[in-house]
Amino acid sequence: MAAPRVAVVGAGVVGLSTALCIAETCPGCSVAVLSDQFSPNTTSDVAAGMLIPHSCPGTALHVQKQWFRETFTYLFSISNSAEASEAGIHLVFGWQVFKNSPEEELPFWSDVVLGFRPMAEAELRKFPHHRSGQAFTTLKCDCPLYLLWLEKRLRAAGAQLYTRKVSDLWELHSDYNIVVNCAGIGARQLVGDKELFPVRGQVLKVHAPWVKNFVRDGDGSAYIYPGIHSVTLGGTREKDCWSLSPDPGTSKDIFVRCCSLEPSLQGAQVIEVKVGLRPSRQRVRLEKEVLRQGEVKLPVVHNYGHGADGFSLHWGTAIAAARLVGECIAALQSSSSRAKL
Amino acid sequence: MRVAVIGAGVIGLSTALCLHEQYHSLLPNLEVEVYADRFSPHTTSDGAAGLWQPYTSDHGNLQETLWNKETFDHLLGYLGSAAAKDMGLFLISGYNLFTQPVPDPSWKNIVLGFRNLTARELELFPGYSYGWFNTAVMLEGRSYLPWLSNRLTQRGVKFFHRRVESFQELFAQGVDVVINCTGMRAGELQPDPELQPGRGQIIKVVAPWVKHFIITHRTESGIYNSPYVIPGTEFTVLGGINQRGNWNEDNSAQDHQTIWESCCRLLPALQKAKVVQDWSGLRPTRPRVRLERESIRHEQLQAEVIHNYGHGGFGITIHWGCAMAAARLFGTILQEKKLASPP
Repeated sequence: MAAPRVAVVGAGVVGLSTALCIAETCPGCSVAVLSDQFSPNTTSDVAAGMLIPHSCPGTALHVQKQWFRETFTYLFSISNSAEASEAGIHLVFGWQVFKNSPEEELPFWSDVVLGFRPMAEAELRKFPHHRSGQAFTTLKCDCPLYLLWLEKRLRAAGAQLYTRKVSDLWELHSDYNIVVNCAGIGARQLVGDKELFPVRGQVLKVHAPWVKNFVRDGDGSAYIYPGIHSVTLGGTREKDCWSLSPDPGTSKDIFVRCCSLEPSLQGAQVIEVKVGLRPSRQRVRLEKEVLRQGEVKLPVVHNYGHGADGFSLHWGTAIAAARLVGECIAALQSSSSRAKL
Repeated sequence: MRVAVIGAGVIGLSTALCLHEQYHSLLPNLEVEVYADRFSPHTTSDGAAGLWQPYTSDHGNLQETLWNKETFDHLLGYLGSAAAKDMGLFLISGYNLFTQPVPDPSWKNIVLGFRNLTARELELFPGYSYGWFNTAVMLEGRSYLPWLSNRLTQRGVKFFHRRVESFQELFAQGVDVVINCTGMRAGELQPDPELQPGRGQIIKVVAPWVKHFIITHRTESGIYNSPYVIPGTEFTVLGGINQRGNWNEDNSAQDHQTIWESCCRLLPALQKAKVVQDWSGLRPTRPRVRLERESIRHEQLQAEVIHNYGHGGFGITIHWGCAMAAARLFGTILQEKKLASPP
């Protein structure tokens, strides 16, 4: 069998990182990324890119933790290198505050982030509406920088990137040996996955360069994430809402909630308002499937449904998906050598 | 009652403001004037990054620790206000790094969330085996000084752009009390062998991905003679020069090299930062701050000088506590002259 041709559908953080992982772990492969949208028009571009996982009910905790740890470790070393600014990755300290006590004392990721500890009394005074909190340092991946950097590394690894709408995975069977489905919210239509649903998030990108610490309300209703060129204010979580149009009333509410957490934001100018649909699912779909029509088979690796945890888990799921691709290649090579006998 | 403040750095302006705030209602005839040959952005305070942080050891000087605390608490009070942005005031967190364990500083309970660094955090900084993490505040001189000036102008305080040659010169004009906030050049008005320059040089860069301050300490180098990185609103300040006895205010290419190389080694992410400009200034270094009254004979009268200078590399850190102390000294003067009771 000639060099296996792998098509990765989707060019958000999951698609690009998965493609890169495949290109790096399988140097004999030719990798192509196909997507109708590239940065800055992906769901990932809307996200602040903070490494703070949520608890995904359907995936085993130890698996989520492993994916998060792999992602954190990978990005941590980039943040401490000369590449950091080009990749858009940097450390940021801040607080997650709770109006009521949190469900669990120690979230599963508390020993992966840096310096995790409960907030001191003096720190909580800054948040009079909140009773407790957690302080820690984590990583942020600024988009579009991070996606553009992944694209650059992909090209350097010999991968091809094509703007193309894929309507059906099967249409790729003649040009590719293996397809990796990282279509995010697009998987709903692409593979008809009714378990996948959007959770709409609206954010404001504001100019507030004096904000150096992040603040997050543990209930997710408000967050302030300082990035390289803007501060992301959020958040909303509207289940099953497909609208990509910014809602002015929502913008106002977000701004008010965030100013309550960080009064200095009153002086911040709004740069833009964005909307993203978190591709949510009970659990991340990370598995192999073989599509068939008659004698023709097309191995597929699914890697989508990361919900609010795309950035937090992406490298871990990319490694797992690349491993599954490796298994598909091995299966293809063994069946192709059997065919030769 | 005419009061002349000499010096328009952070010490001069804040002392003038503190004094006016406390006494103008008690003394309807109070006139406060500020004299300086250098105003923002040409003062020493303008070059400082603006991080609130005292030296790592207070050498048992409890008075200065209290003034530091008063300043921090005063600034914390402004954080949630609309004024904060105009003042150049915001919270900032970061690292202090050491090559060996050191005792906790006197200010550990003043700042927020003070703790030791974990082993994983120290992995970020090869060569350093111990450290602290805490949240403090930044008060950027290039915003704070104009803010103070505006407050003063609103209160009717007058500014005079001129070089004062002697205290007598002002007394001869009818000034009753002089507040000497002349910083590095106090020696020109009254010799003070204890006041020495601690020459600093910094590089201003654009590196908005840096969100934390990092201050390194090497016992053999002395304070601020070891690399530091302090991110501001617009620029990140790279530094690590403190040359005792060096009066040269020009930038040195060699110091630029030292700062650049050592900071990039400390924080590799700086390598792609764009250099904007260098700046050099003289920390008005003294074994302790000179904050005291002095009575000077002028013709038949007793004239009063309140000295408030020698704040080294912690002027912004200590300024409000000192301003309040200077204001208290002024109150004592008023009492003696039977003009008013202190508030």
